Amino acid sequence: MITSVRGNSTLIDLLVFYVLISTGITLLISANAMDARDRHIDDLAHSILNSLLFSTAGDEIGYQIEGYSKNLSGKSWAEIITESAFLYIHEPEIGRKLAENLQMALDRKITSLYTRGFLVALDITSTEIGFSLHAGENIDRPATVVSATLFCPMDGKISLKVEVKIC
Amino acid sequence: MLKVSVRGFLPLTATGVILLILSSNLAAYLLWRNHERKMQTMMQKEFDDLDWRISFLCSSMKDILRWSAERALIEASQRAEQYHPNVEEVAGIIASGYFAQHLQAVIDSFQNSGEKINLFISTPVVRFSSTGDFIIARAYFPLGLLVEIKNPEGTIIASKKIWKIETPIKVRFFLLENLMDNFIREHQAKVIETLEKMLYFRAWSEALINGIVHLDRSSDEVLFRYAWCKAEEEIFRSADWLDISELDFFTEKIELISSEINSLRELKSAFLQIYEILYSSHQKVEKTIDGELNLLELVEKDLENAIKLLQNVLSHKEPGKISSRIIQGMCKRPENDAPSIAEQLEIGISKIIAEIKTAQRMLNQRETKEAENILRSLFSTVKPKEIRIEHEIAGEKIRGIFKIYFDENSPPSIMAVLELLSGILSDLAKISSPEPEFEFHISQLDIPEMSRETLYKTFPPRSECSPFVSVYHDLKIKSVEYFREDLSGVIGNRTATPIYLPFLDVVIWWGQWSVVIKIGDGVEEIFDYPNQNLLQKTLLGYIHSCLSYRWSFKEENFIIRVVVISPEPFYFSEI
Repeated sequence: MITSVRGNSTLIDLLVFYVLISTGITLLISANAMDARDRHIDDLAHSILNSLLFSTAGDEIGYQIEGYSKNLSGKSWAEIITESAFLYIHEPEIGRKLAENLQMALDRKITSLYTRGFLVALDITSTEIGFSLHAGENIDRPATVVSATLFCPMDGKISLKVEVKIC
Repeated sequence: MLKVSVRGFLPLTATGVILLILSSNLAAYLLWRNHERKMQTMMQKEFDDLDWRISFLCSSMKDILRWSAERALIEASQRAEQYHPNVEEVAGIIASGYFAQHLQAVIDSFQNSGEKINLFISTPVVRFSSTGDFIIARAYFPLGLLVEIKNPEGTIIASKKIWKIETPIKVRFFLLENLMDNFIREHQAKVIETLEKMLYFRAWSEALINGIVHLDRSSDEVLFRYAWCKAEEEIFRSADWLDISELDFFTEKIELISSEINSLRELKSAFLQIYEILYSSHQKVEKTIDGELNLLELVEKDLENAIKLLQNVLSHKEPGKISSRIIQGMCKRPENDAPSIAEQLEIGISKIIAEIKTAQRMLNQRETKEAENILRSLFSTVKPKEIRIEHEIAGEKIRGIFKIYFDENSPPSIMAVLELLSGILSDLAKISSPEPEFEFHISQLDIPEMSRETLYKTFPPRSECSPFVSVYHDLKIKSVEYFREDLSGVIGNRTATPIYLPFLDVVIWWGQWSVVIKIGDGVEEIFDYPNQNLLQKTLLGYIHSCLSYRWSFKEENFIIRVVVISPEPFYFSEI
């Protein structure tokens, strides 16, 4: 039975509704913030992938053959990666030397990138030729993974999957 | 219970219902807005992703463009003489073909990885331009290149129209092209200038000093090659000197010198061995005198070996060699009744052997004192007889003193034989010292046999001077011909033409001739040494090497006229 009590209950009800609505709004805003963070990581992964592949390699990339230095500065990292994979099957010895050097240079490159506290890993694989190269951190549970395929102009049969993992 | 008499504006139930409706609406609005925002975010994310795919595709296309441009530059530069002066235009055409061909392959590789891409390709036009030392390849799409990428659901399409893409290439193509243009334009004048100076210098010095001018094809060929290298050095600041050092002319000379030095060494070594035997015999004879009688038999055997060795050395003759001429000199008698050096050595050692045998016989007969006296007599010094001799060489008389240590009447003496051998060794040392080492260090590189050009393409030689280009050339000299142009030469005489100058009342000798050097198919090639970053197939397999700019030339004639005037008569060697 509803007694004719007014005023005091209205105030309490208003407070209860206010608390409920505030909580709901807070939850909704925090959910949006989570979305924004996810988007930021993806953007970062994309920009890292672009920067890793299409910036120009420095002077430290190359290999030695018969005591003769071959320096590949001036090429993009993507180009060196595809050439390394190509040499891996056609000139295994040179391909191995270049891949070792490339892996160390990519490690340095990843370290030099400004990643604002994120861990970054780069994985390059070609299932057709069994070529694989890993640089950066070891990440088991990445927050995001961005991948792309590199085309090898020297040999159309070779394609390389490049993945950037961020955690 | 206190009853508060406060009347609200609305009844509590109505207020509650209104507030419930308002809050439900607000919650619904917030949920809808959240959904919308999420949808927008997702679409934006997908769009960003597609946009990134397009930019990735564009970056991939830049790499393909670079690769196509590099191939095209390598191909066009290898036949520069065919495409000159439009080498970069031809390279652009070749690059356009490669680029168009590979664009489709790039799209295919993207589609294989799950993308849905529409690419409306219009034929690209590739052009090269310089940027600092290096070049930029630009691909223009006259009708534009429309790239469209859809998301998997097909609800979002990102598209971009591309009119031009460009990429830098770290090769100095224009530098190589300019250098080669300069060389092709100037090499003939420069080669002739250097060669003329050298031919003049040689001809004048030969005419004035020796009175005979040598028209020698092999040496003029070397001078020509030298002049070519000088021209290269002036234009490229680097030259292919290896071409001269690998000439048969030099190889033959070095082989000849090596062979002479080796035979002189052998001769010296043989006489040193004989000297050591004699010296050792001297010590053994001393010990025999001191009581070690059993050594005498060894001395006899050693000395017999020394004789055999001497005869072996003296019989070893190779016509034309310096060592043979020395042996010949040693065997030659200065006068009819005076023994030669070789004879003296044989006589000297034979006499010692005879004395040793006598001493041994006496020792066997227990005549120790007499044996000792005989052995002691071997240590006596001998004053050689001296005779004056004269040698006539090139019209000049050279006087000397010839020493005779041994003849039929001389007493036996180990000391005299040792002195004679010391003299021979001292003279041989004067001839062969210092001994240059002609040892060819064969490269330790495990590389298959390949031509010098192929080797340079793989491992270009280091260039020390700016602009640091390596140089290779392959010159085939077809002929070196001489045409006498002075009167005497024209009618076939070997002498120069005498000209009487009446006002001076002197006769001068005039020689004039043209040297015509014909070269056949040849190659001039320069390499961008500092930028060895182009993947190329060589005999060693795929390897990164530099861009080379190669110019093949057909027949070319170099004509040099030489004039020599001398106050003294001079002749020309047989042509």
